[in-house]
Amino acid sequence: MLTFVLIALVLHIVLVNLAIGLSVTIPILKRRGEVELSKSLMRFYASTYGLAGVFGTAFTVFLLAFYPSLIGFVGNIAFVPFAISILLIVLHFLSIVLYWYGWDKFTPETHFYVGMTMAVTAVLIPLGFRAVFGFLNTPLGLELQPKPHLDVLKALTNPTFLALYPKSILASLTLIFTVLSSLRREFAKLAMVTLALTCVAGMVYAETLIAIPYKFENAVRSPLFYAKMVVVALQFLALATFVRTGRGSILATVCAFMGVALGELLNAVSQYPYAIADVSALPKEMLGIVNLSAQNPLTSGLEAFTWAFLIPLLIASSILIYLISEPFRSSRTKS
Amino acid sequence: MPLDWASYPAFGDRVLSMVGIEVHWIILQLVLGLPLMAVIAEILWLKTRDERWLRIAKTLAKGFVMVFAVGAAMGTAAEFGLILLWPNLTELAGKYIFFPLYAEIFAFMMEVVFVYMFYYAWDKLPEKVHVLVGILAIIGAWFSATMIMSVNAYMQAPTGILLGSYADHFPKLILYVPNGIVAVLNVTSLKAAGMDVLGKYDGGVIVAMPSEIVRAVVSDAISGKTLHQSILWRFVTDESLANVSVMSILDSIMRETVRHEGVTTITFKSPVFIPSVLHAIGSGLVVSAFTAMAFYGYSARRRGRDVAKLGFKYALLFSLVSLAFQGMVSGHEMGVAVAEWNKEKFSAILYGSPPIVEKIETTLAGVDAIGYDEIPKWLRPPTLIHWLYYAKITLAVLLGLSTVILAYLTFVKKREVFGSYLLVFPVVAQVVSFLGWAVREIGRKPWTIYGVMDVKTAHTINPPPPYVEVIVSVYFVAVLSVLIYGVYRFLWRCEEC
Repeated sequence: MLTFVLIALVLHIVLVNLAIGLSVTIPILKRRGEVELSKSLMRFYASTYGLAGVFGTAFTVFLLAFYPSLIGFVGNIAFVPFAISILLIVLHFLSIVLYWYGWDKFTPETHFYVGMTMAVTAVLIPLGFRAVFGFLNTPLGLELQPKPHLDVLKALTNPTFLALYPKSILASLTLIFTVLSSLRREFAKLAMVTLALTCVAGMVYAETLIAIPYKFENAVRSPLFYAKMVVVALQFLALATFVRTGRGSILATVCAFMGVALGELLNAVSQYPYAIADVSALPKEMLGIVNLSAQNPLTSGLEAFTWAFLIPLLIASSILIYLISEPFRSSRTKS
Repeated sequence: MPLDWASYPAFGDRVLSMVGIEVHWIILQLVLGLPLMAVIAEILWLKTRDERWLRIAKTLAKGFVMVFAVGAAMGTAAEFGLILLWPNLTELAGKYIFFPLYAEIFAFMMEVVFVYMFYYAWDKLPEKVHVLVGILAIIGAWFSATMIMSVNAYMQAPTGILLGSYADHFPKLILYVPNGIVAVLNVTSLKAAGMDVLGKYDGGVIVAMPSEIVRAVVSDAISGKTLHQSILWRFVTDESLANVSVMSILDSIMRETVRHEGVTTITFKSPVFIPSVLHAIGSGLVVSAFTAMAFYGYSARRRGRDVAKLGFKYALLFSLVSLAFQGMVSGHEMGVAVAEWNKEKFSAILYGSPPIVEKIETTLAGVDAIGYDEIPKWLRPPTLIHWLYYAKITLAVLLGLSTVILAYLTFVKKREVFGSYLLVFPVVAQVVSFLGWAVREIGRKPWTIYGVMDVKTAHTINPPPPYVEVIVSVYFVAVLSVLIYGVYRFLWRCEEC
C-alpha cells in the first residue's frame, strides 16, 4: 500500500508542478502574442488539471483511512494553513474555467486579469500546503496548553517552510521552462537560470534540515539523494547542450520530471516512519499518532481492490493525456 | 417544547458546512444528470444520424464539463471542511467506516478521466468507443455519489441501530464486545443501565448498548479520557485499569463490531442506504433536466432554431420522467425509510401539522408517528424541519403540476411555450433539492452520527471565529455566482450551441 500512496503523492506533485508552471506561463505567453501556443497549452491544462486534484484527494483519503488519528489531530489544529490553500484552489479552478471558456469572449485586458488570477492562485496554493509540510518537518507553533492549537505566526516562521516554499515554486518554473524549451529554444536559457536558483534554494532547505538530524541524516544517506543529484546534473547538461546544438530537449524534459518526483520522494521517505520528523519536539503521548508504521488494522486486505481500480485508471489517464496532447505534439514536430 | 436549530452546538460551523456542501451539491447534481442526457442524445444521433442530436449531446457535455471543475474544487473544500471543522467525526469515520471514502478515490478518478475524455477527445475516438466513455463517465459520477451517500446513510441510521421505547433506553446500537473487555465489565450494572445481551460470538458477546452510553463513551474517548475519568468507570470491575484510555476500549469494541458487520460493507447495510442513493441520483436527474429544459427554452425563444426546439422537447420529457421517478419512487421510499428509522425526525416533521395531514403522512409511510413531546429532550430534532419539509413538498407539487401543463401544451396541443420564464424551473428544482437535504441534515440533530456521536463531540476543539465563518460562506456563494455568470455568458448566450 505504501507503493500506492507514493504513486499518488508523486503523480500529484508532478502534475501540480506542471499546473503551477502552465498557469504562470500561459497568460504571459498570450500577452506576448504567442496566441496559438498559449491556446494549445491552455487546452491541455483545462482538460488535465483535474488529474492533479484527484491524486491529491487520493493522498488525503489514504491518510484518513490508514492514519485516522493523525488526520484527527491535524484537523483539530491546522485550520488556517489548509483553509488558505483550499480557498485558493476553489478560486484557481474557477479562473481556469473562465480563462478557457472566455478565451475569445472577454476583452483582452479582462482575459489577461483572469489569467493573472489563475497564475497568482496557482503560486499561492502551495503556501498553505508547504506550511503544513514545514510543520511536518518540525512542529514549530504547536502549543499544547490550555488545549492543543497552532500559533500560526510562529508556524509561518518555520525555517524549513521558508526555504521549501520558494524552492517548490522555482522547481515548478524549471519544469515548465524545460518542457517548453522543445517548442521555443529561448525557454532553455530560462530553465537553466531557474534550475540554478532551485539548486540554491535546495541547499538552503537542506541547511534548515540540519536542525532535524533524523531527517537530514536519512536524506543524505538515501540513494534517492544521489539519484536526484545525478538527474539534476544531467538536466543542466542537457539544457546547455540544447542551447548550443538544439539537441537534448527530450533528455532535459525527462530529467525535469524525474527531478521533481525524486525530490518529493526523498523529502517524504527520509522522515519515515514519522509523520512529523522532529519527534523530539513532541510530547511522548503523541508519538503513537505520528508513527506511520502503525496503520489502521482494519485496512489490511485493500491491496487487490486498490490495484484492480488503479491500474486501469492510470492507463485511462495516460490515454487521456495522449489524446489531449495531440496539438502540442504536432506543434513540437513543426518547430 | 420545540427546539430552535441554532440552540444546538457549533451553529456557525454548521452553517459554514451547509453553505460549502450545498454549493458543491448545486453543481454536482448537474454532473449526475447531464452526462446521462448527453449520452442518450449521442445514441439518438447514432441511430438517426440527425445532426441536431449531436449538437445537443455536445452542448450538454460542454455544460457539465464547465461546471465540473468548480464542483470538484468545492468537493475538495467540503472534504477539508469535514477534516478541519469536524475532525473527530473524520477520525472515527477514518477508523471504522473508511471503505466507501477510500473507494470514492477511484470513483472520482473515473469521473475526472472520463468526463474530460468525453468532451475533449470527442472527435479523436471511434463513435461507439466515445459512447462507452460517456457511460463510464456516468458510472464514475454515480459510483462517487453512491459511496458518499453510503457514509451519509450510515450517519442517518447506522448499521446495527435498534429502535424501541425510550423507557427501555432505546435507541440502542449492536456492538461486538471482545471477551477481554467483557471480563472486566460489571454486566449486571450494564443491564440495569439498559444494555441487552443478544448472544455470543466466537471471541466475545453481542450486546445492544443504549445510545446514551455509546454517545458518552465516544465523547470520553475523543476527549482523551482514561477509564477512571469516564462514564465507563462505574461498569468496570478491575481498578488496576484506571489509567487505560477510553479510546483503546472503544477501538477494540468498534473494530470487532466492524469486522463482524463487514469492513467493506458496513455502510451499505444501513437501512436507509438504497433510498438515500436513489433519492440523491434522482435529484441530480431532475435538476439537470430542468436546467437543460430552461436552457433550450431560452435558446429557442431567442434564436428559434430547430435544434433548440428539439432540445427543449427532449429535456421536458426527461424532466417529466425524472420528476415522476423522484416523487413516486425514490421520494416515497425515502419518506418510508425516514418514518421507520428516524422516528424523531419524522415526529419533528409532523410537529404542528393538522391531524388530516398527519394521517396522510403516516398512512403513506405505513408507520405510526410518536408525539414530539414524548421524545426525551436530549433526542429532539429542531422543529424548523417541519416548515422546511412542507415548503419543499409544496414547491415540488407546484413544479410537478407546471411540468405536466408544459408537457400537455407542448406534446398534445403542439404549442411553443418557450420563454425566459422557464428559468424559474431549474431554480425551483434546486430549492426543492436544497430543502430536502436541509430536512435530512438539520433533522439529524442532536446527532452527527445517529445514536453514536453528537455534534459537540464531532466538532473541532479550535473553531474559527464567527467573522471567518461569514467571510468563507460569502466567498463560496460569490464563487458560485461567478460560475453561474460564466455559464450564462459562455454557454447560454453561445451562438453555436
